Amino acid sequence: MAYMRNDLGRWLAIMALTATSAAAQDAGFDGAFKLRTGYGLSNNQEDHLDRRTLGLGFDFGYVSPAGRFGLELGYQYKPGNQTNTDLSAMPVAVGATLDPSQSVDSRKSQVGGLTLRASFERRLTGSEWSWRLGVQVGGAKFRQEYIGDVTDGVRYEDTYNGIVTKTTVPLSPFVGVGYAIDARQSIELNVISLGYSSANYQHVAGTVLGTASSPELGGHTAKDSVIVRKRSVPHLEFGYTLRF
Amino acid sequence: MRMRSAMRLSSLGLTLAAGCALVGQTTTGALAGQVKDSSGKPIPGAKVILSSPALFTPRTVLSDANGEWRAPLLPVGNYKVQVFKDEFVGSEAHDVRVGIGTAVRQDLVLKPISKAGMVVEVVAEGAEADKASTKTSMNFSAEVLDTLSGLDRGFEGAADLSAGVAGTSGGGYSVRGGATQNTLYRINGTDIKDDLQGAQVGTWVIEDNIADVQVVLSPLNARNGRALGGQVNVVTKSGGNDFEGSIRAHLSRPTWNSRNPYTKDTPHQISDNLSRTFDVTASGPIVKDRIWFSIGTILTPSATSSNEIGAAYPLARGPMRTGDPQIDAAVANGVPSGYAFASFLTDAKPYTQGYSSNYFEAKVTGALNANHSVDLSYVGSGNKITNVDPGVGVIRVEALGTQEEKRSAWGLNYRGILGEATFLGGRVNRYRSQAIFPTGDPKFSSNPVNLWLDDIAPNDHYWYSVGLPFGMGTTPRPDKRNNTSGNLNLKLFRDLPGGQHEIDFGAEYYQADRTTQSQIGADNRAFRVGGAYYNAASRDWLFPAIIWPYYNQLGQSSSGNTGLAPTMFQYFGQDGITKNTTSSLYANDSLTINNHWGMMVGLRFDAINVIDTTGKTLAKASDLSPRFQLRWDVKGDSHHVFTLTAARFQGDFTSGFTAAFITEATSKEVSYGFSGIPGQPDPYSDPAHAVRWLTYAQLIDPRNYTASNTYLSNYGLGPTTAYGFSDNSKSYILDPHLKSPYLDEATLTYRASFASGNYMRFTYVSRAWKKDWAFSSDYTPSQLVTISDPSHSGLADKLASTVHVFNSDDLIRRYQALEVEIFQRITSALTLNGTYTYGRLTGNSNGGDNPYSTFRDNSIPGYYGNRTFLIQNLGKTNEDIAPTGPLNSDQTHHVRLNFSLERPLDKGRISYSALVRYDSGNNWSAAYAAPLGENAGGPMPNISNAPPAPATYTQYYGGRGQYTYNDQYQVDVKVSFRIPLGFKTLQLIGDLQINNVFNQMEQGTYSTATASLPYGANHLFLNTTSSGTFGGANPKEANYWIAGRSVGASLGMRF
Repeated sequence: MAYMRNDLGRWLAIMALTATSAAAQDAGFDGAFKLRTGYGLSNNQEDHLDRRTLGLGFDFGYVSPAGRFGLELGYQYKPGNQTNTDLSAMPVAVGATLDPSQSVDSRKSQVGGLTLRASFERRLTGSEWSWRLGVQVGGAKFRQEYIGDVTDGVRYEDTYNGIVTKTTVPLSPFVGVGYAIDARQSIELNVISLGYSSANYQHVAGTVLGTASSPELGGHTAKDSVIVRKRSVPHLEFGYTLRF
Repeated sequence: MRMRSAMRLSSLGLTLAAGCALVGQTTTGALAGQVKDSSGKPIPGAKVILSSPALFTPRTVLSDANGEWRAPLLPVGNYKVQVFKDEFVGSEAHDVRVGIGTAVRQDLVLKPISKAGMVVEVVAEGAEADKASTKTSMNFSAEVLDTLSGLDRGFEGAADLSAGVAGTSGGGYSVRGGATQNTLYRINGTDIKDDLQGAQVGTWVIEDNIADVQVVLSPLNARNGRALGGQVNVVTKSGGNDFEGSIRAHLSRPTWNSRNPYTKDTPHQISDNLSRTFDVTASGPIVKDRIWFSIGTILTPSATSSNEIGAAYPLARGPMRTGDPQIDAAVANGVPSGYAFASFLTDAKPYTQGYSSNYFEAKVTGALNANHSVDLSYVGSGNKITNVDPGVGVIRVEALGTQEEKRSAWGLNYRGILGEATFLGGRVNRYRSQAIFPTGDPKFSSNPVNLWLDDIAPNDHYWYSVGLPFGMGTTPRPDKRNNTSGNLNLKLFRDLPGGQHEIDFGAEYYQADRTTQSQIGADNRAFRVGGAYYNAASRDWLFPAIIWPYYNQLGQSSSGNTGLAPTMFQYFGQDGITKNTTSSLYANDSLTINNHWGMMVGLRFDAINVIDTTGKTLAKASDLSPRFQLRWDVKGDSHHVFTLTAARFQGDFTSGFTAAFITEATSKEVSYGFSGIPGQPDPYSDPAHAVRWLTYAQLIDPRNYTASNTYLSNYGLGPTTAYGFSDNSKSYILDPHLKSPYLDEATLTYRASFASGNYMRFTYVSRAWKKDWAFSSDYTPSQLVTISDPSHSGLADKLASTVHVFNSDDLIRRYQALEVEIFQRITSALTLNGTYTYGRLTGNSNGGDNPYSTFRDNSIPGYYGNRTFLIQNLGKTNEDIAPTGPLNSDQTHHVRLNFSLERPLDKGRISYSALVRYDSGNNWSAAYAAPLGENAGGPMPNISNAPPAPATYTQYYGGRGQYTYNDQYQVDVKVSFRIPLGFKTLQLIGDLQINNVFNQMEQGTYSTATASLPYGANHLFLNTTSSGTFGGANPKEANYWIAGRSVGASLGMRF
């Protein structure tokens, strides 16, 4: 514990020192355009999302002696690939079975949307390096495409398709470092905990049963549901900034 | 007075950065600027000298009272701009790049000579895109193209790298939401887009001979017409006062590439030959400072490939059976000696296919005098493929043939300086495209014969065509698709009320000719017979036949389409030439009000016309399209410029559109039954039931279909064997006020320019297409027409469906996008140029989005497919049959980031580039051809002889385009070099390109097939059989997979 306090103390001292010597930036308002790409540090298989993210934004800020306060309006996007889901995990109505060889359930998800980032950045004394922290809001519209046709081959055949979306406004904090290439260009490396809520359409197979001689062709029923899960996935981001 | 040169400022990067304005030209660009002193005061009367290897002699202009100077109609190239004025130290800028249609601004500052007489070095500001821009485009110089990774260094490569361009799953490029068929392609000003297919077909460039490539996103200037989509323009090199040349070998090999599941599954179809082509170019003076030339050719070694025939077709076990045991036995037992039934088994017969091609281009540029120049250009290519199976059902090796394609583009361009502020430009262009297709086995190709054979099941009367093994069924006439165009433009610079005006007046003409190629064989006749027997010794054929009234009585087919009795299909009409013309007048005024404000207004008048093969005018229309632009330069220094545009762009009647309703040689058809060969007895008195074995000559003799046998009347038949007819010449009813669709566009752009040519551009685009063509087919009485027997044989009139063609207010196509374009030097050697487009293309009609379809269908199936019948009779809604949503060409994200690093090597260089490509997947819909239940197949109520009702309609489930294919992502790298060899100007040139270097095997598309449906059901059924492939990639389909890593290289010499 003492070790940690000493270490923390050292860190705070460094911050204080850098706080007293402002970066060599001109004070006042500025604007920049940012391009960003990210990579998920964990593989959230359940949502079948890609690890990659893409983003861009327009960042407007104010440079003060303490550092730069920025507000960025942007867009972020995290794609996913089409997947045929594991039918063995699909719930089945009482008394029904499901024949996977004659059934298919296909999904494709993505998450993204407009984002708002508030950030604070401070250059290290006499260096082109800076540290930064902030929080992102938005970019969390989850969208799932689903289409399915499940059957036991005898008594029922459920067909269903649609889109579910779940929009939340989570906070995604980030910290990182930046490097100024020149007066107009810089790069940054952030770690961000990307928040969103996933929505997974859940069909219950065989919800409309007929008889062997008179099979019914079914569809959506009230037994279907959408399962929502909150997520917070760490990502490593690389960004490139061009100032106006 | 000594003058020292200003510091050199390379503007090579601007080759990618001058993506701003265009003066509306397709082969030249412009330079302009202002001469000022160091206090910003304009200097009038300064002498500005423009010199370039692209100019015969330097061009000299003087700055006006505002210090402004301008030089339009400049050939593409790199320029040195020098300015001199007494009492001032001269200034100059080097390597100012002028690309196709670019308007580049190079301001120069002069400093007075110091009283002490010391020489003062003056640094010139970097050149920038002229804010007086009237078009948005991206330009790629030859030097830049050489270093860029990507698809190729021509049309496709440039289009792929541009903002606002989306690739589509159907192929081709959609520019700012435009249909792929509307993207124009030009080489040296000649339009080379195939007007029928709406695509650029063939080889048109030698990459080492390209001077500049331009991708036009919005052709704002009123000079531009036929503008429903974008443009890609290429200009080839013109030569110069120094001899230059190159030879480069392009190499690739399948084993260098990684394999995706498709190529792994079909290794035997991939030849592992080293593919090599050689590009050879040469240029130089014919007369120095007067006439230059440039020529080039692509040498491609001939190649062969091993193929198999017959494997695609099902087994044919025997001739058509009648069901009458005596007749069938007479056929089975009466086979002439030496002959045997030809079953065309699926044990594939091998054959060798040969490929050869040639390509040649040439350009001669001449200076009539210092103020007038002309250039004559030619590009020509040809392909020949031997042993072609055109896919119409060839199952005999003898029926394969040779296919030849020839294309050429001619251009004559004129540029003239009539006065200090008066310029004249003109061009005449010709495009020729011709394809000759094989006509089948020469012994049997005068009239095609189609075999309908029986299936394997003994009591089964299934039949199917095994194609046209004896003749191809196509006319031996060439398929010609040509165009001719011309333009004359007068450009004036005048100081008039309001400011400085750049005024264009002009006229333009475009005509697309298409030679129809529908006639069947030599006599416009085709035949169908129920079996073929072969004699291997004599290599001859016999065809079993009974006379027509026999099978009618046997009830084989009420329509006479099948059966052992042959049928003759006689078509009426002749092939001819259709003409689609566009005649235009325009005026455009680009006005610079002051340093902060500028505007442009333009107006274009187009008259369009379609002339049928018969010479009749099918449709005629005229329209006006206004153009407007407002520019605000915030600080007056071209560094922060906002541009607002509003424009209407008009289309034209393309051959691809009019192909649906022009008169074709096969529009009308009458079917005749076989009446017997001379001397053939009454079948009922003939023990052999009149089964005859016909030679080919007897089979195709029209006299044997003329009811000449007197016994026909014994069966209440005759005097003709005509039993059916169709007349498609009345199928299409054109609205008498038919026009071309148009497009309304609004854009707002902010462009920030910085030192060293760096810039950023942000553009919001909004487009809406209006009055799109509708093809309405409906199952209602109002859409029926009475047709009569073209042969006047006495067959009763009948009703047929029609398609109404008109401009619709209800077909929707909208596009909105944010485009971002960046050019930035990260370090002195490393540059980033990138584009990002976020776009949304929505609507309720996908017309024109398949670049390889000859029929520009807008609505079948779709908005106007049996609309009244479905909505009024069956209660369907728009959401069922034609919802509005993302269209097929919608591509939300399109990212291209190219990093280039260049290292000089004495007088050469080595370049490294990496291109990151990211594309969202295109959209697809959960749609299915749902049956119409009890209404299917039934006749129209209360109308006899009406055609049957539609059996299915396309039902949408959950809207349009709600589903997306997987996004695609890859990184391409390229190393290119020019290494001086130490002997005069000789250089070693080459490159190594690795596409998809990380071998990202994305599944770009996947099966969305739906299974067949139980009758009466109306749900969306996926392919859920045991071999179901829904959602999966089919390893036998190449287009499901993004290509894996591929390697290509080139090596050559240049002097």
